[in-house]
Amino acid sequence: MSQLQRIRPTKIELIRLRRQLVLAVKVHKVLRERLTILVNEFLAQLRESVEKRRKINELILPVYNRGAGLLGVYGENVFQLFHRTTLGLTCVLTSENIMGVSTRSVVLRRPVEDKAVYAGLKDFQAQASELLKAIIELGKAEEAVLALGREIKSTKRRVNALNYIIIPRLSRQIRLLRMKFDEREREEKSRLKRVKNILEKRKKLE
Amino acid sequence: MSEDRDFLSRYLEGELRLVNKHVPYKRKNLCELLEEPVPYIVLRDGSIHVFDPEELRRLKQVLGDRACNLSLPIIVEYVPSDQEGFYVVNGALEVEAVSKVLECKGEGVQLVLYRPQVIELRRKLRTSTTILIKPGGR
Repeated sequence: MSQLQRIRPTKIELIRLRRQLVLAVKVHKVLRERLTILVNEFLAQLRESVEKRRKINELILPVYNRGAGLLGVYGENVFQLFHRTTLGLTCVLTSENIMGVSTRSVVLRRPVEDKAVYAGLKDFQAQASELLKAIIELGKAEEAVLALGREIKSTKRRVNALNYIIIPRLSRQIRLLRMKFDEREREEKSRLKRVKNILEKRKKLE
Repeated sequence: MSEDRDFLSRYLEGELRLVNKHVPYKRKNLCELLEEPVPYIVLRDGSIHVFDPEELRRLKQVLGDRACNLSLPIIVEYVPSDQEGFYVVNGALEVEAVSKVLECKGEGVQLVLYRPQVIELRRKLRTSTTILIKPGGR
């Protein structure tokens, strides 16, 4: 109420308040839509991360079993040999922007050519690279989920502030000013009537 | 009090400006992006957005010979209205690419999409599409 009392009851003030209300409603609509888009993105990323986690759980056991089998067949130095004879995967750390939310991302760069390796190592290599790719994808999705969650939280606060505080306050102030102007108009009318009556009475007396 | 209100106006205008900070400064051709080792663009807030190479290859496959004319990211404009707003894709090639990816009918230079379609589109082309919010409507 204290804020309502501090408004100057002028027409310019009313125009300014109306403009602000229009702007606030527009911003509210835009932010609400942005929030919806962000929530959709969040759910999509969440679904992807669950899917990737499931995929990793499916892949990890065969890779482990194959690795153990190779260790049994070729001995302890098999992985050093594997490392030396094959081209490794490289990745570039980058950033991705989802509706203004910056998240970390990775671009995998596959080796151009594969050198011949021992029997059994080829399959292990394919499975292991698939697992690695799935782990990277999971990391990307989970990072995006966290970043989107933070952005959703702050956007929601802004949307709620507009919806429950700023727009109702501006509407109240506009209503108050209108009431004041109406009151003034009524006062003016009654005053004019009064003056008219007095003038008529004077005329009669003369 | 008037200072408070000016602050409020400035804040609201700032919000409208910031809502499109993820839109690129300059779009790049699909072929140009495919040639780059790490395909990326610079956004209006100065940050870098990297495209998923698999999505680029998919778009190339969808559009065939005309793929080089496609500028990326594909901009999907959100147009607010009194009720729920809608989304518009402009440009003949963009419309063709989006309609083929979504497996829907799309002709001409403009395609109107609704929210479920946009969710589907973002799921399929997450890095190569971006949503532009038009605060003033059409």
